Formats: sequence, structure tokens, C-alpha cells
Amino acid sequence: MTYSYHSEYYSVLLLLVVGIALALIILGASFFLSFQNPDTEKLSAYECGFDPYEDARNQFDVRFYVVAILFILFDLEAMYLFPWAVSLSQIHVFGFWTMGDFILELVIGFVYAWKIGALDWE
Amino acid sequence: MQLNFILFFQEYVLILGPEISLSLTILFIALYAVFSATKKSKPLIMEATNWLAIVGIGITIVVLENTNYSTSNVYSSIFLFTTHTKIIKLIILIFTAICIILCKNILSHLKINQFEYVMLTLTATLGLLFLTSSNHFMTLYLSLEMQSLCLFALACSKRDSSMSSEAGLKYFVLGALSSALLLYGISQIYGVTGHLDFDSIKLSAAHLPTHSAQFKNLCAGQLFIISALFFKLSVAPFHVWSPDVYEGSPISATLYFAVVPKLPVFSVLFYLGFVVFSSYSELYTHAAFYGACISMFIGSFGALFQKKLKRLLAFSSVSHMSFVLMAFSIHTKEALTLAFLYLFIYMITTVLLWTLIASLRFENDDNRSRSKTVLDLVVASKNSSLIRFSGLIALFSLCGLPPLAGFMGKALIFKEVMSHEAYIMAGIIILTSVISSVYYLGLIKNLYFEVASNNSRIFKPLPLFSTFIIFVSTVLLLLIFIDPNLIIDIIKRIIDSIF
Repeated sequence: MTYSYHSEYYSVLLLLVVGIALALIILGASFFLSFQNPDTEKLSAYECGFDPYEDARNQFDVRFYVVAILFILFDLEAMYLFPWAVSLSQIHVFGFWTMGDFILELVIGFVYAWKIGALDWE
Repeated sequence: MQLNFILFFQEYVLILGPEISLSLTILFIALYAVFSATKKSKPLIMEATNWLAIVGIGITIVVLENTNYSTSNVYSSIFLFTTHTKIIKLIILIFTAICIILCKNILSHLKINQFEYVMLTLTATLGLLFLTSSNHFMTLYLSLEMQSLCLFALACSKRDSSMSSEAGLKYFVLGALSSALLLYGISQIYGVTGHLDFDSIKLSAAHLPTHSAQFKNLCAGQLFIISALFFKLSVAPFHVWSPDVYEGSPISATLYFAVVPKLPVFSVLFYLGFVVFSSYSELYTHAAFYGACISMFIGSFGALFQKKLKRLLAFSSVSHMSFVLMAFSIHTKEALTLAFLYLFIYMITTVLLWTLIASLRFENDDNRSRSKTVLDLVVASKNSSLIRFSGLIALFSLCGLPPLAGFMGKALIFKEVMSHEAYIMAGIIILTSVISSVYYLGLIKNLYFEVASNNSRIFKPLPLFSTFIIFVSTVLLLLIFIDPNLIIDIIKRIIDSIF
């Protein structure tokens, strides 16, 4: 068994190069093309409602994290719809209903999170 | 089109019947509980969700019994539908039902009032069902994760106890480590063979030349996977989490940890060792042998001076897992039968012992979630002769004394070890059995001869179902010794279907 690394890893290399280039372009464009007018309020760090460089024993609000976790959860599930939509012609009825079942279970999870009060701020 | 739908239903939906019925139960409980719990009157729904879960498991067992597990290759053969998965799933469901019924009283005593507890138990069971029939490394990993994430949450379900949170966090961090090991091993195997499903891996792994780099890579990957499975089984170099987690988590969760997940994880390990990587038996023999030797020593010495019952039983479970591994390391069909036999006896004894510990409830206890010590057992044994007698039977069986099932399991494994001339193994078994019988006999001395100095505490009477479970498992421990064919027939069916 021989591996030809050129053919197997060529696409990985391509992904790496394009990824780095794209990241540089996006970051650079927003840096060079924008109008910058900094002041103290704009420059201060804002992370989940509290200053990141403080005493570690301070109290913080756990609700930010709950909302963030719920956001990541439902956002990622929405991401899952993209590959499904692209490959829909190949996965037939079975694939279609699998996603239907998935969405149904997601909705039940959402109803649970809503009713239990995880989305309420007060 | 309609015919198409019926065919589709028969092919894809019916075969996963038990899993689907269990997930429907979970979803129904979620909806029911969340809508009743948020009513203005704030009703207590723990009792109702518990009964719903038990009914759901009952329905699942009936569905499982009526599912035809002969068709294969549905879902691109990522699931395995054979007789052995069916039987193991049945046993998992029965033991989960026992755990859920038992936990009803424990939870109300510990004042844990969250309906999520039952949902998490059921989801863990669902993960275990998928784990049993996984035939692909991705289903194996995902179902193992599903199971362990629920167990982390169960470990810290007593939210106002720092011990419980600590146990959950420890379990989570170490469990993440073991998942990383598992994934790394899977990636090594994928790198060598280019496949993730067991059937293809089996074909490509069988013909690798020894001493080639790929062969070594594959062995390394398997070692990582074995380590991750050892972690789940709390076998010795990877046992560190178990005493802390067993002690910290609420006793209803500990009962579940100690009894249910061992069987499916062992069945996956056996399936990997005997079927998928059948040409690598030497690797599994060595891994199981060293794991078993270390756990025997750790299990017997660790428990020697333990005063807390939960920690003591955690160490004892480590040493009992090593007996199963000893049998596995011989790597023959007969030895595998004995491994399953020992595992089943262990499960019955553990249910009995943990039920006993869970029933050590006192009326005027200021700290109800504190971990129970040997002293509590002394007080309880003065109050109830059932606890005294069944404790005696369970401990004698763990210790391995003749008229009980535990003796049969140990003796048969010892005989098998001797017939394969593995004298080092036999020596270690004898040595550690003597050491561990010291603390089992010490507990029995406490049950019968110790005088309770502090009798001010009032012992709560045993709940009806606990009495039933204690009675049935005590009788089973005696019956299995008298007629081992009670379970040997079941094991024979499992083994025949694995090979």
C-alpha cells in the first residue's frame, strides 16, 4: 500500500491556503477600508457584561452563559441544514424525513427551554 | 408511492423500534413535565414522571421482544442487529427500570426535585442501546458521548451539595480526556485502514503484515480505544475517577453508574477483540491481562482501610471488573462465557448491595446527602434482620464463599486460568482474593457482632420495592449456584451470535 501524498493532501493544502488568504483579506479590508475614530468606551473590552481583567472572585451573571450556550446550540443546528439542503437530491425521502424528525426534536427542546424559563432575562 | 412508504417503514423504522420508542418516551416526558411544572399551582411531578418512564421502558421492552433482528445492512450497516445485541439491550432495559423505581424513594429522601433526573437516566439508557448495536466507529463514539454526558449531569444532580458538584466536574474533565483518547485511537485506525465501519476495518486489518509501520499504527490506535473503554469500566490505571465520583454523586446515580453501563461497554470491547480485530488477539490478551493485574491490586488494597461504604464499593467494583478482564484475556470462547457469567453475577450482587446502602435512611438525619459509613450499616443492621441477612449473602458472594453465585464465578474463572497454564494470573487471583476477603469479612463482622454505640437515630423502614429487589436478588444469588443453567443458557445465545 503506497500513499501518494501529493494527490491525497493537495486539497488540504488548497483549503489551508485559501482559508488563510480569505481570513487575511477580510481582516485587512475591515482594518484598512473603515473609518476609525477610537475613544475610551469603544476601546474597552466587553465580554459577557463584565470586565475580563478583574479579580477572579468577582460575581458574574450566569445568564449570559445560558443565553450563549442556547444560541450556539440552535445556531449549530441551523448550520446542519446547509449540507442537508445541498445534498437533498441524493438522499431521497429518507434523508428528507430524517431532517423532519430532527427539526421536530429540536422544536421540543426549544419548547422545553422556553417553558422552563431559560430564555427569560428577568 | 404508498408501497414505497410501507417498504421504507418496514426497512428503516421498525428495526430501530426500541430506540424510537424510548426516545418518544423521553420527548413525551419532556413536554408533559415542562407544561405541568410551570403551572401556577406548582404541582410535584417527580412521581408522575417516574411512572411515565417506567411505563415507557415497559413498552420499549415489549417492542424489543417483537422486533425482528434478522435483517441486516440497513442504515449502511452502521448498526448491528443480532441476537446478542437484542439480549444485552433487554438486560440494560430491565436494570434501568429497577434503577428508576429504586431512585423514586432515594430522590424524595435526598430532596432532589427535578424531573430532568429521569429524562437524563433514560437518555443515558438510549445511548447505551445505541452503543450495544454500534457497528461503526462514529456510532460508537456518539453513543458513548450521549451516555457519558448524561452521566456527568446525573453525578451533579444534587445541586446544593458541593460534593456532588465536585463529582460531576471531576467526572466531566476526566471523561473528556477519555473521549479524546478514544477519538485519537479512531483517527489512527482510520489513517491506516481508511474505513470507519467495523466490517471494512475487519477486512483491511486482517491482512496487514506484522512489523510493518501500518500494523504498529493500528495496534497503537487499538490501545487508545482500549484505554478509553477501560476508563468507562473503571479498570485500574484508569480507575482514578471512580471512588470520588461514586462517593460524591447522589446514591441513585451511583447505583446507575455501578450497574448499567458496564455490560454494554464490555460487550463492545468483546466485539472489538473477538470479531473486528480477531487477528490481533495478542494485543487484547496483553492489555486485558495487565489491566486486570493492576486493578486486582488497586481494588483489594484501596478498599482495605476504607470507612465510607461508597468508596469501598467503588474499589470492590474495580477488583471485580478485573475478574471479567482475566477471563477476557484468555481469549477463548469458553472463557468469554465465564466473563459474561461473572459480569451478570456482579450486576445482581451490585444491585443488591447498592439497594442496601440506599436504604440506610434515618428519620432525624441532619445531613441527608452525607456519604454513608460502616457505622450506619451497624445501626441499620440492628434494626432490620433482612438488611443483616441479605448483606451477609451479598458480601459472602462478593468474597467468593461456596454456596453462592460469586463463588461459582470465581472458581470457574480460576479453573479456566489454570487449564491454560497461566500460573502468574492464578497466583494474583489467589493473593488478592485473600486480601479482599479481609474487608468483606470485616463488613460482615460489623453487620452481626458490632454493638451500635449511637442508637439515637431512628431507622426509616424499607420501601416496598427495595424489599422486593433485595429479596429477589438474594434468592437469585443462591439459585444461580444451585442451577447455573439459569443464565448460562442466555449467555450461550449471546456467545453463539457474537461468533
